[in-house]
Amino acid sequence: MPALGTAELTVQDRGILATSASAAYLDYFSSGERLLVSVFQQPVLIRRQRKYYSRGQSYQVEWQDYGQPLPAWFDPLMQGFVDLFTLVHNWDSYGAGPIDPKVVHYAMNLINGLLGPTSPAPRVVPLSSGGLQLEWHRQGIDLEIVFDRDGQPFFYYRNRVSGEESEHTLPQDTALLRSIIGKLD
Amino acid sequence: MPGRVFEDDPNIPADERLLRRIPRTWVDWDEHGNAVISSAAFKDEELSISLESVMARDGRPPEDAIRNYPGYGLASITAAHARSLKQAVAPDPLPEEPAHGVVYGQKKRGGIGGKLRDGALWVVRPVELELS
Repeated sequence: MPALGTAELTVQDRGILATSASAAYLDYFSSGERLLVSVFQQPVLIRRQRKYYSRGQSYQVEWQDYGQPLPAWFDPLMQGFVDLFTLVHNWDSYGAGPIDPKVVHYAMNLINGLLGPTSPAPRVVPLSSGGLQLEWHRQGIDLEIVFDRDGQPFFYYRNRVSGEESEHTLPQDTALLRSIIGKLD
Repeated sequence: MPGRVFEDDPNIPADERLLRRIPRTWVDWDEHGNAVISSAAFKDEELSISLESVMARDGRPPEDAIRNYPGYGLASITAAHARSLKQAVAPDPLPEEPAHGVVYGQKKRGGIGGKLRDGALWVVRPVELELS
C-alpha cells in the first residue's frame, strides 16, 4: 500500500466555528455549563484538527473553536469536500478535470456561516465544469447551492409538494438561504 | 469541446433513449437503498450521451456504454423529455464512439439539470461502495 500523502486544509483562516456562527454553537452546546463559568473564566479559542481519508490520501483540516462538540454535519461535510480533492482526471468519464480548490474553499467558508448546530449535512457533489454544488433533498424540499468556476454562486429552491421554485444569487440572498436551511432540520 | 452550437435533429425520434454514464460521485443512496442521481449529472451545456439506436444498429447493447467504466451506472432519458426542457438533441459521432450525441442547451439555471434528472431511468444501477 502506498504511503498516504497528507495535505492540509484550513477553513476561514483557521477559524471555522470561531466565526459569527460559533456564538450560536457555544450557546447551544454549553448553556448549562456556562452557569458555572465565572466572569473570570472566559471561553478560550483552541486550535483543533481532524484527519480525513479519501482514495488513499489523507487530508488534515484545521480550525479554531471553543472545544465544543462538533455538530453532526461536520464530518460528512468535510469528508465530502476532501473527496473532491482526490477525484482523478476524467472522473466523470466525459473529460472532466479537477475541482478548483478556490471554489472548494469559498464553499467551505460560506456554508460554515450558514449551518446551525442541528442542520442536516448537505451532500457535496462535483460539477464537470470544475465547480461543486451542495444539495439537500428532504422535507419535500430540493435545495442546491451552486459554486461554479465562473459566475456568482447561487441557490435553487424547489418545494416538491407545491411545485414552487426560485433561484437566488449569493451572497445577496444569504438571509433567505439561511431561513430555508432552517426548515430542513 | 465547449463553444460549439448544436441544432436539434428531427430525425432522432421522441422515444429515442439517450444514455448517460453516471459515476458514483453523482449518486446518493437514500434510506430505502435507492440510487438517486444528482442534478449535477445533467448540467453540462454540451451534455454527452450515447444514442441507443445507433448502438443497436452496430449490434451493441446499451450496457456497452459502460464497458470500460467499472462501477459506473448508466441512466437514460428520452429525446422528448430533453426537448420538453428546451434542449436540442443531436448526433455527434466520435472515432471512439460512433453513437456519441449531445443534449445541447443551458441547464445550470432554472433547475433544468434537476428536471432532466427527474426524467432519468436506470439502465444499469451502480454498486454502492465506501470511498474512504
